Amino acid sequence: MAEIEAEIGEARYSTGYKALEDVAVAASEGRRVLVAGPSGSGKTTLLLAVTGVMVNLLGGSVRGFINLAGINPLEARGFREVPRLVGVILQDPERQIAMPTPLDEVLFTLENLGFSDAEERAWRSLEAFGLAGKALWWVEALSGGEKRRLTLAAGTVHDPQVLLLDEPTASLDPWIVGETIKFVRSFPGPEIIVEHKARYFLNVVDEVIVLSGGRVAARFKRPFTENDINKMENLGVDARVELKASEPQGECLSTVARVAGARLGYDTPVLSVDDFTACRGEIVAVVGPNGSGKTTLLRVLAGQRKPLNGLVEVRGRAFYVPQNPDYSFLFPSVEKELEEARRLGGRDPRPIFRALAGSGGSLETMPPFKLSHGQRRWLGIAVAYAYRPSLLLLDEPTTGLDISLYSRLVALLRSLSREAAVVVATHDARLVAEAADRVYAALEGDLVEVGKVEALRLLESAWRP
Amino acid sequence: MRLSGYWSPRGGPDPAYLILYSFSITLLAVVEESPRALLVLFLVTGVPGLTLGFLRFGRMLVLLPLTVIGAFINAMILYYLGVAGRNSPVAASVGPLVVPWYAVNATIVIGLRIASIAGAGLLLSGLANPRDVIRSLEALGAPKGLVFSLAYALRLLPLLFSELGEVMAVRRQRGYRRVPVTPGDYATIMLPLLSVSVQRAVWVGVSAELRGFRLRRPLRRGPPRPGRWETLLAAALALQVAAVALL
Repeated sequence: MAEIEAEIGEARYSTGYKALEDVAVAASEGRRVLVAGPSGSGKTTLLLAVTGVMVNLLGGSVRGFINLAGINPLEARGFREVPRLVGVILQDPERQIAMPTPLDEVLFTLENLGFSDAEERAWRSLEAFGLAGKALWWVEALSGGEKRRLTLAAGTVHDPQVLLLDEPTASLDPWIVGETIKFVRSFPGPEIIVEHKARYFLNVVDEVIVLSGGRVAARFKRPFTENDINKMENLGVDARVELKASEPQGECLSTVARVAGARLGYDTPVLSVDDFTACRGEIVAVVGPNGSGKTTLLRVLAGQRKPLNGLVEVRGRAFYVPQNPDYSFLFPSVEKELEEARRLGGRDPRPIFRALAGSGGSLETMPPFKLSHGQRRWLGIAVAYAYRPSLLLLDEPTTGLDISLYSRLVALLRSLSREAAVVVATHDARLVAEAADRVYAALEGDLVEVGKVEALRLLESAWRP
Repeated sequence: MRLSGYWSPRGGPDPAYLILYSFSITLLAVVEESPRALLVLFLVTGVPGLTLGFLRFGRMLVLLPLTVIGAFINAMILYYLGVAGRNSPVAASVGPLVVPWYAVNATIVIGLRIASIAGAGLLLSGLANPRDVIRSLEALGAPKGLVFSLAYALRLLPLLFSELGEVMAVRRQRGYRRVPVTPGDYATIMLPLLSVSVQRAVWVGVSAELRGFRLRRPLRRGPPRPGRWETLLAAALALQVAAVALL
């Protein structure tokens, strides 16, 4: 019977940084453990330690005992056996997929492990994950959801005994989240799921371990009570399963952007917009599945793309902050980034960055790419703030943010909405419930305004079994 | 829907045979000096390859006549500097300009050589999918590290293009010039691209190792039995080898 047992006394990176201390996790056949915690709490490090990557590939050290389906991955001999026994799904499909087509990606796992029936298995797996029709497409032509499905296929095509998943719902729409949960539920062996959005998995896991500062802050066993959920939330974990739409707090002070009778897309229309407005004083959310045209709408409003036809009006300057904040940074240090934004934008973004990141200036000498995901998001928004936009366009601004950073982001957006129209494209039901004043849904090629309650129902019903 | 097979569903010869053919023609074109033998290579490989290339890449083939003109100018400069062709008979003279047979001959040899090599490469790229070529390289015994790097490059190229588009859009939005001019401009483009690429490469490496890359053994999948296309390639190659040997 396959098992995962890890008792880690201490885990350090090659720099000497101690990332984990006194962390124990165990899952036996058919049991699932969720590891949650705020950004930087050591969740991903735990997976790197448990799989032996930390010791065998990254030059770090792990003191403790690990049993991964009967092997010790901390030893070189055991680490060689990890791929045969373990399926690992990483957080970002772009950083997991190595091959140019889905067929090659799945074959890569099987051929590495010497499967004689690699071809048949690969096709079976692609068919099971709904990718057989796109087996020889270039990976870049797949949607975000299809890329996630491909990582699930390539990570489990060899029938591993145990499964480890790192933030498997990051950047996914709730419909694909639903598919991922179904997949997690169907896996027969023990699983460790690292995920800060614990709410998605509370119904399928047996235990929740919350990490904080590299240590175990709390453990919760199924069934999870309301008290447990409150405690998880207090520890920075997004655990609230039932969301309630709050009353809109903003009001339309002046219309900043309008799209009417327009069709948006690249060569062919992706989204038809009958009537869309965004006002100063409001936070407007745009929801819909991956590939439904939300980002296209934001890019059209930002002037980066032209509509195929119809009216697009924006009064003043629009500023678009992309989903991946890394593309927003052009300079080798945060300090230079902020200074350049001030020089060209006309407003000093440092107070915003310091208030958000809570750095007091200590982060400013670092390269932007070394910041945590949440900090990079802050920096992207701080840069946008410097340009005094009248229309601030944020693409999936809450991806990868823990509850604490999320709450500060919502407060910032509320404050920015007093001087600019704020439009967010998001899958995050919580953001819609708690921050949005109005909601548009991109569904089946049309953008329509929907009530908050309806939008919330749409997003929440998509992932629930 | 195609539910089996390793190869992309397109007609044409097996990529492994095409690789061997292209490699052999390139080798013959590099070592051969005889214009007559090179003419055979050009007619048998260069013409079909360039025709296919013209259909796929169109204007890019303008580079070929430019290369030939460059070869001629180069030969003339060497002649006038007295470095080569000093005793060559004169082929033509236009006023004070003398064109020696040496320059004519060198231009023909280089032109035919380049056209044959380009034709062989264009045949390969025109008749086989790049992913099939990479998979065939592994079947032919290329090191797994090289094959992985090529496959990853193929995965990365479209991603890099889309990332470049993102970075250029950010630059424009932040008030930097559309067309990069100074080294600083280029640095602001390269920095995000490289930073993202390095991070991604680390994680792809972790992903590959966790999926057993270090356990990978050479794939013992030889090329399939030769069919009509492969027989045609073998005959064409035999003809050209004979031309090189006899002419």
